[in-house]
Amino acid sequence: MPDALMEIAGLSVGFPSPGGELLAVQDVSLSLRPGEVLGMVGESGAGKSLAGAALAGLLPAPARVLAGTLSIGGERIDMHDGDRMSRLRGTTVSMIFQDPLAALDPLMRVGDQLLETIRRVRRLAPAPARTLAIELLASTGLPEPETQMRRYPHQLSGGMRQRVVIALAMAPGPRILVADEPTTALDVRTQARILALLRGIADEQGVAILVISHDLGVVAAIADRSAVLYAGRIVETGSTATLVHAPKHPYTRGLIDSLASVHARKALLAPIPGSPPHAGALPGGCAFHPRCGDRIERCMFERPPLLRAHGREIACWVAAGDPSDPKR
Amino acid sequence: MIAEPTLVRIRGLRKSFALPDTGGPSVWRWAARRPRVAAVAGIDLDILQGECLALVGESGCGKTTLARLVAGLDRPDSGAIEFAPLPAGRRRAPQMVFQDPHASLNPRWSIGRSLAEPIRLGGLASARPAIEERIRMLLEQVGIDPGASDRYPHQFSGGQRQRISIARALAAEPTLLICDEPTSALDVSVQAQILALLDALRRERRLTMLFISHDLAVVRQISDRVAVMREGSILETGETASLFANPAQAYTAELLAAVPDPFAVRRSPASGD
Amino acid sequence: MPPVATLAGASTVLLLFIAGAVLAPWIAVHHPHELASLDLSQSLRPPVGFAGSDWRYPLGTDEQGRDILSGLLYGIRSSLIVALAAVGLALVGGTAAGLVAAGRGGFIDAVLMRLGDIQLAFPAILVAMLIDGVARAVLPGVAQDGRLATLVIIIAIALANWVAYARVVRTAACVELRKDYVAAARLAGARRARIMFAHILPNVIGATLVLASINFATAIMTEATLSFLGVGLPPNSPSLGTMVAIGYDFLFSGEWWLVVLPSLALVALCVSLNLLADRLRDGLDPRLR
Repeated sequence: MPDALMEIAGLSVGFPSPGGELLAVQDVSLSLRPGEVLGMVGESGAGKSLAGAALAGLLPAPARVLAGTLSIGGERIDMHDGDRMSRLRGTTVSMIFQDPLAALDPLMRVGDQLLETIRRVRRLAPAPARTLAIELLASTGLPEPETQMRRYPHQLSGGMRQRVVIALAMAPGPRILVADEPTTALDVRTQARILALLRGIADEQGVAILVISHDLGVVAAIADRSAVLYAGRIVETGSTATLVHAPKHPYTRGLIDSLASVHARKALLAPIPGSPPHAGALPGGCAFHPRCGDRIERCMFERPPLLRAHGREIACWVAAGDPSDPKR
Repeated sequence: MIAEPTLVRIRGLRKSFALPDTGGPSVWRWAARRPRVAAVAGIDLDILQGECLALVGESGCGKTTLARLVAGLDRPDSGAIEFAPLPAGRRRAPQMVFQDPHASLNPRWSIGRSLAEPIRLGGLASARPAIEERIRMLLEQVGIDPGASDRYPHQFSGGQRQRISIARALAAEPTLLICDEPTSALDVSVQAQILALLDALRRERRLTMLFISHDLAVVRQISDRVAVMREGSILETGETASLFANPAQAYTAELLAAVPDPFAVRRSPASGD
Repeated sequence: MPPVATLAGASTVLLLFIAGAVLAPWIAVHHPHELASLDLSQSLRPPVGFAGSDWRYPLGTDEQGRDILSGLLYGIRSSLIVALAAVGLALVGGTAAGLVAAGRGGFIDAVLMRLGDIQLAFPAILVAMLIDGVARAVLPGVAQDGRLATLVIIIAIALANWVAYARVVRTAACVELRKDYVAAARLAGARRARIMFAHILPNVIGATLVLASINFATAIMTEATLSFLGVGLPPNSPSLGTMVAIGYDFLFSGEWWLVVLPSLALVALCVSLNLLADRLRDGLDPRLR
């Protein structure tokens, strides 16, 4: 992509196990432009959280990057390089997590945590740092920021805490924000507000945001484009609208079909049998084939790569309409 | 006496909890009366036979407290919960399906033992072969291998554990099944399976179900009627379809509007399609 | 974590000791209650390898002609029995107290825990001495009767140690009680006692076992200390502590083996027990489950 801000190519994450290396993320490639929101959707075990953590240089041991290069603004970084990745984090790349209580130090006042980050990254004197802290809090929509700064995390509501966490993440002025399930722990009205806040940050400040979620609704609310992950690999990418209204990959189709809707009751709600596989027990060929109603013989032995079809990328022999394969 | 078609009649239900001691400088704070918060502040509700009634609300609204009161796990401060008498004259306690599949089964008991407990204690069977037969049937009905009764919970996935919990709840042959966020901790595709299972079982066994959830889409899918709760009170009740289409309360409308709807996705100018 | 070799060594030592203790009645030359077999002419012989030793008494003899090795075997036997019984009693009693406190809550919980807190303010040895002293005042036969004295010591050490078990169990039980499977059991009709012992107990017992394995070594040392101080087992009952006490006087007259050998036995026993307990704790670590 010509004006892509950030590109990840061939990211693979694994962790050692008695039977050999388990691959949790395999050959994931993404690109983000300034001000764009990219959604990463998948169920548990799909590897989406690990991929996000790898980008922020925050992989929990014993997981480690097996392969992958990151290009930011033209500069190429090997994602193996722990030091380079660490330096990126907290300056160019920021991350926010699902549980704001876990991200905030319960023994420190909220304002002090923010000041600590600002002073470290921006190297400001106390007075301008404080002004910036209040500005940051205000920009996240936190009411009465001066008062809230003196509070402890447990004294704030879930939504307010998440705003503080976002302020903390935005303090270094990052160009990329990774949000891993940012609203899962919040009530539905607060969730809507936080999502609007994130979208605002992308639109107004040109920050590229990677939103990771199992909730398609969340991703659809703010992501321009999305990637669907299954068993560590991307199976479909494209604009979010297209994925939702006209999904082509059987897994994506199944996901969309199994979503309940407030507008109407669905006659058939559970089209995908079985459950997602674990990294240690991946099926041969296409990882989704045991649960797929459209599978053909080729799916059982040959894993489909991401193929360009229908205006997006799909990893499916059948859906991509591969001309060399006779239809079922 | 409650007349058909009501199964449970709740009137004037109240329950409050003392706030935990948050500390402070005074040595005498242990003697001071702690402030109480009303979790359930005067609830009137009817649950009709054979229906699925959903309780929705944001966290802290009291829906779980209400569920536990109806189940008999906690005692209300005041008010009454009346159950209609069963034809056989014997009322079986309501059973519950809980949210967290990892905490709802005793990790040190085989699933067979967990299933046998309500059968035995409920007087449904006492001879070993009869109990085992019931266990086999229950497991089959919820889609678990009937021969797996001597396995342990950690050998099953989250979705499977929820199925086993459902089987345990059904083992006691209750008339009322209370489900407290049974699918919130599960993957999307597994959620759909569990909801379909609950729906099917309810219709087959003509169970009455009280379904607690914060997820309005799930509620729309599975419930006949819905009661919206806020801060310990019920704001409005009604048939799910019509209430969602035309909410009487502004709060309900706000909740509905805030639900992230994937089908209402914005078409961004940046998309290539 | 100790390397495998240390673990193997510790296990071997412990197994040897246990074997010796179990087989003592058959392999010991001198038996503690058979005073007739004593031969004063054999007194104060050094261990094999030193001048004046006798291969019939490989580790030497004491001032009354008793074989040191026999004394060690019976002493270890005594230590192990007392420790096993005391720890077992503390574990059972403490666990029961913890379960009752967690299950009942309120006043009973407060009383039990405060009792425990008060007791913890005193060192275990002091508590054991106190109980022992009271027993001696109340039951005059304790000073002479080996069996009675053993019983008193077991109870004393158990009473000194129950609090840790009670606390651990109470905390773990409180955590478990909040879990949904307990609510499900209540809905199934289970009553409090059944819940505490059938449901909760299996889930909290793990922590107590780790505690017990560490406690074992301390119990042995406590008994030895009490006997050393003269408030444990009477002098004619076998005890490593008593041997050390008596042998101490002979240290400066050159008969070092009377005090050194039982001390070494105590050290070896406790070190190997501690190493194994350490390993057990690592092995039961929930992270590895």
